[in-house]
Amino acid sequence: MKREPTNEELLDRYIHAVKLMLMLPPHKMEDIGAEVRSNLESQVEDQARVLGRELRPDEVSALLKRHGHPAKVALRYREAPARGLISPVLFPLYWFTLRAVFAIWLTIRLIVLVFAFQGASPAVSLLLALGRDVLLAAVIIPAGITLLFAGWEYLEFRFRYSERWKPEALSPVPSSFPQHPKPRPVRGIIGGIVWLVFLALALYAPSFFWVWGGRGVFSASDALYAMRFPLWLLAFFVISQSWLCYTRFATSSWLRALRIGVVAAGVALAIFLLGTGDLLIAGPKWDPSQAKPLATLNQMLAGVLTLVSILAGLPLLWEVVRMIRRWTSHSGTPHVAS
Amino acid sequence: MRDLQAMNLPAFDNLRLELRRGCLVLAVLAKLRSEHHGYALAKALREGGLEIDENTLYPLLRRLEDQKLLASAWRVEDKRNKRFYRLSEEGRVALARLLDEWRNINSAVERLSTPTMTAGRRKA
Repeated sequence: MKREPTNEELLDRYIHAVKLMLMLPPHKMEDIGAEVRSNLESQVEDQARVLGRELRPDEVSALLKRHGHPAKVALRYREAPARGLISPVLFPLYWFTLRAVFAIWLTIRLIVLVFAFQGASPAVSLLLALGRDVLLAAVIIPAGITLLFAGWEYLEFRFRYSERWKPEALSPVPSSFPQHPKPRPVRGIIGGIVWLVFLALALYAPSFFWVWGGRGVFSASDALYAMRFPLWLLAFFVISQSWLCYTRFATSSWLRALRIGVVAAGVALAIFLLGTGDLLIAGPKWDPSQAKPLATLNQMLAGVLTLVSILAGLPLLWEVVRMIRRWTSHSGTPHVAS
Repeated sequence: MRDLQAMNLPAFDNLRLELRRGCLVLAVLAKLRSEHHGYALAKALREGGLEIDENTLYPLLRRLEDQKLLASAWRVEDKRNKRFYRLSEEGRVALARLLDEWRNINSAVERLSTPTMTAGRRKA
């Protein structure tokens, strides 16, 4: 039969585990271990005095459990380094740089992807290469920027550069410093109305467009032609929501929901159109010598649609996550009856 | 009171922890003007109205000793080896300055919070 450990053995085991998890030089481990033991023995003595008897092993075990897991105890002795890798002062700039560099890199990579669509490479291999590059960048960019900021932090810690600045050395404000432009709703509204009328005419008089009119070298594919009404509706909502930004509804939550809906519908429509194949086909005035420009145009259209879908889809995802977070934090707030 | 209850609890706990962190250092330094071992110090702080977890107190004592604000020595008491802490000379100077700082902060917070409370009462 297995023997239950005694009080002393329980303490020994606990202190041993704490020391193992400290990961400090031996003399420090011994010192800390002795101090933790001294504290625990004092607690055991105190409890024994209150109860008027020696503690049983299960009571000592409960006391150790209350004191905390050895790893947790050890961790407390390893906290609070003298200096962080990146201090809280530099951290906002570090975080901003990290996001900015990643966004710039991603934009460049997506532009490269759009042009690669014009080449002979199949879309799947291009997307796989993009995924691989994003994963690599997610490791390399943070590592490089962290090293850079850690170096800056070290130099700042050692030489205190930030204390040597002079207000006189700051550069003067340029006379043509851009101010926040005032919104010009009239121009936007007129432009939007003209655009909507133009698109509406296309529904009834397709010849308005050189590609939809049946009179051009190129013509719209069946799928693109079938989707002209949803495209018009999409344009209508995009323009409407941009007008509403000039009104008192600018900050209302339904406008945000409308914006999310419009972007989601746009991305869905783009994905659908991409899935149907070539968006432009040979028109009535087709000239076989235009075959190469037609192929290039189709590849460019596909690339632009992909890029727009990604650029619109990522902020959409972010917006949805923010809405969910706001919603969950709101619903998580305890209700207080008045 | 209702505001406090409606407040997100983890956020309040963080604010409370931040507020307590500096006060604990001050209380520990003040109490160690006379020599204490860790367990006795924790008890004294508790009896004085400042609950402190041992896993916070002991690492804090070590950090203060590393900063040369405390001095410590192992000694036998009640047939057991115990580590006794007391304020060092540097610790005495630091404590005096910190207490001054504490009084200034305290009176500033009192001054700043009083009109708000009066306005709040007036509204109520």
